[in-house]
Amino acid sequence: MKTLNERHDYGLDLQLLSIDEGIKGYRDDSLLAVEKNRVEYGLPLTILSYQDLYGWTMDDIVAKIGKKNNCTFCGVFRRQALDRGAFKIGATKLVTGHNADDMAETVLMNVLRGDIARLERCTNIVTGEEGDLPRAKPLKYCFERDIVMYARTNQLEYFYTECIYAPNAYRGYARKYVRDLEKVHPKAILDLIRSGEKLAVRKEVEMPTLKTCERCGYMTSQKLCKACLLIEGLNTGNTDLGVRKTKKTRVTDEQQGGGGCGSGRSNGTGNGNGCACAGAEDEETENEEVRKKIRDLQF
Amino acid sequence: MLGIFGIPNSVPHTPDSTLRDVLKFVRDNLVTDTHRINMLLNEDASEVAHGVITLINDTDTGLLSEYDTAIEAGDSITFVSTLHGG
Repeated sequence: MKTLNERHDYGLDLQLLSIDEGIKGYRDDSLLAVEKNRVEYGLPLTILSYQDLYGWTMDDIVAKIGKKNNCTFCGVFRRQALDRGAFKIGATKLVTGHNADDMAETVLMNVLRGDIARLERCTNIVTGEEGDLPRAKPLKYCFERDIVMYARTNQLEYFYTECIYAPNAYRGYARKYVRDLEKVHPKAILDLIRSGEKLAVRKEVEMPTLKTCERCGYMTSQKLCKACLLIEGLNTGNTDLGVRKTKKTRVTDEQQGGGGCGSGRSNGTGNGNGCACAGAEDEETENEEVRKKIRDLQF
Repeated sequence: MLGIFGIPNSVPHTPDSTLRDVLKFVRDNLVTDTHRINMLLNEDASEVAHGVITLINDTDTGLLSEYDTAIEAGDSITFVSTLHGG
């Protein structure tokens, strides 16, 4: 971007923004690389940390929740942290480094999740144009391989290690699948991006509407934004909150409501089976909630 | 690949050595951080791991004969990881 800006006189005022998730052995090293970028490119650098923004580092979070769903927390937090950082430095556009491989994986993941709203917008080169801070992905057609070779040829400082918590991530499976597809059919990545772009959702399909979070004011489709929901879960020890809806969560909810699972919930459904309080109706609402929550997951 | 082996190493070779032989040699002799060998090679070291670019004298082996590319004395073989983020 810096080279293009100078070569073609775009007139952009570029700044670097990094997020410190608080992952020892990963992000601390990569921040060193970013620091070198700051010197090399002569651009101002701002670093925001999860610790300062949310009161939790990723290492703390993993210690609390174990090695599952780490990327769910991290992805939600990072997206919001980038927005907050951009506002802080007075940016009017946020540009991320997502490449063609990333885009293809995201299309696939949104298909697998049945997340129609994200599927529709995930391949847009600019999103959020209606808001204060549009986000752009200038590298959306650049292959990861080409980017790495470019960096290598130009001896650019970059960081290449997988996050220590990434091996269990859903994206990893999509990535492997896309790479396998690519072996058989080299155009697979571009085809996936294209199918994402060509996809149109009929007008009558109900889409989540954009609201503001009751707690922090960030954009959300729910009452609370995903980050606030996850933090609430972390702070109350209810770490499934915002990640999945389980029996355990339901029990806790009900206990808070005074009912409790063992009480049988004799509210007229007639089965009176004590603990089997997840009757068909409940199951249905539960599924709907799960769907809502999945919709609200990262990306 | 940084973190797996940092300094250039020499690989013994015969006139009909190919990149396949190099991978086996790397697995057997050069990788010290065996826990993370899956970041470089697949299980039987027949191919590099997903996302690793292999260069022979700075040329992508995808443009050569891939794993059947012949190796000559003095060739420089580089493994570049495209891993990033999470």
